[in-house]
Amino acid sequence: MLPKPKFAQPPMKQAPVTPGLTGNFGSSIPTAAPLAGSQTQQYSAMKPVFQPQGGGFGAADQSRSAFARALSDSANVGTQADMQEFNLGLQRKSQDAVARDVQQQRQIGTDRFGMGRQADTVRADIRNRRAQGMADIATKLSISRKNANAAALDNAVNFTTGAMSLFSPTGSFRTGAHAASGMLGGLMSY
Amino acid sequence: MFSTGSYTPTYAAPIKATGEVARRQRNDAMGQMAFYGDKRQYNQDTAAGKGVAAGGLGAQFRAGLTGDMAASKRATQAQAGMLDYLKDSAGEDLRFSSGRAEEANSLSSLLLDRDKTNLDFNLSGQRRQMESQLAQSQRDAESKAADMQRKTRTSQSILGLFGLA
Repeated sequence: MLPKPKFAQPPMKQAPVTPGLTGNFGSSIPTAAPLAGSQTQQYSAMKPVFQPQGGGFGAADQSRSAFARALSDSANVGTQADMQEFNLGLQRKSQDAVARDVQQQRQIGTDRFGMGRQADTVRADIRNRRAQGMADIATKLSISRKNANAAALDNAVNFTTGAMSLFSPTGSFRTGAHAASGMLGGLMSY
Repeated sequence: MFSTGSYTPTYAAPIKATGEVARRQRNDAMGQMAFYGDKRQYNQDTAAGKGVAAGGLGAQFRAGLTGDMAASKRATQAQAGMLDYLKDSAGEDLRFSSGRAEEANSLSSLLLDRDKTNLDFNLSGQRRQMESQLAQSQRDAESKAADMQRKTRTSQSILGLFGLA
């Protein structure tokens, strides 16, 4: 018999290898108020510079003390306002930086995900092209094999006919030659 | 491609002043506060000399207020100098954090480009390999089919030689 074709077909389907887009993007940029807490406590509160010593000018001392407290209070309030404005400004900048950071991470993650999906598509195209090509080759080879088998069967019939003529009582040299050629042709077909 | 470590981030730490200068300026301002707050130097001149038991109660009161204002000015300078240092330090922290994040994202983008280049190269190679294997299989199949046809044609020719085909 003719050998069977050895062109195996690869599997048509294969699961995508690219992992899904998981998200969970985060930023390491802090957004807390930078000048809060005990760090600045010692620098933000100014004590009144005038301290009444007692036995002085009475009402004048009180007046100076009030004036000094007003100075320190206004300075402290101004400092606190300055700190608050600075904190808010820096927090706004931090928030903008975090947004940019996360957005860039999203963009890169999405691009990488798309790259993986594109690779999956190309690999699927390659597998499909190989499978189709192998199927075409197997089909053509199968047709050729069937044609060859049909021709061999035809030759075998001729061989049988020749053999019958050879051993027939009415056989002649010509029929014997026919039988020999038929036998040879039939054998070569196998 | 590049050597190992070519994609290591370069931002190491925020660059800040040590604060020593700010602390010394603050200490100087605090020291000047006591000097500038001395009311005697603001008293009016008298026959006994400037600032010595000068003037009446009102004059001394006004001199005291002037001294208080001068001392408060130095105290405010002491506060402001130190707070400016803290502001600069906090701003540098943010600059470092955002710069490092920016650099990390840029490196990720570069690595993505690198991976994409390698992937395109590999996929192109896989496609060429597939096409080559397919062409080789095509040639093998055609050769095998030709062998089969040749055998049957030869036998037919032998049979035809004697008029039996």
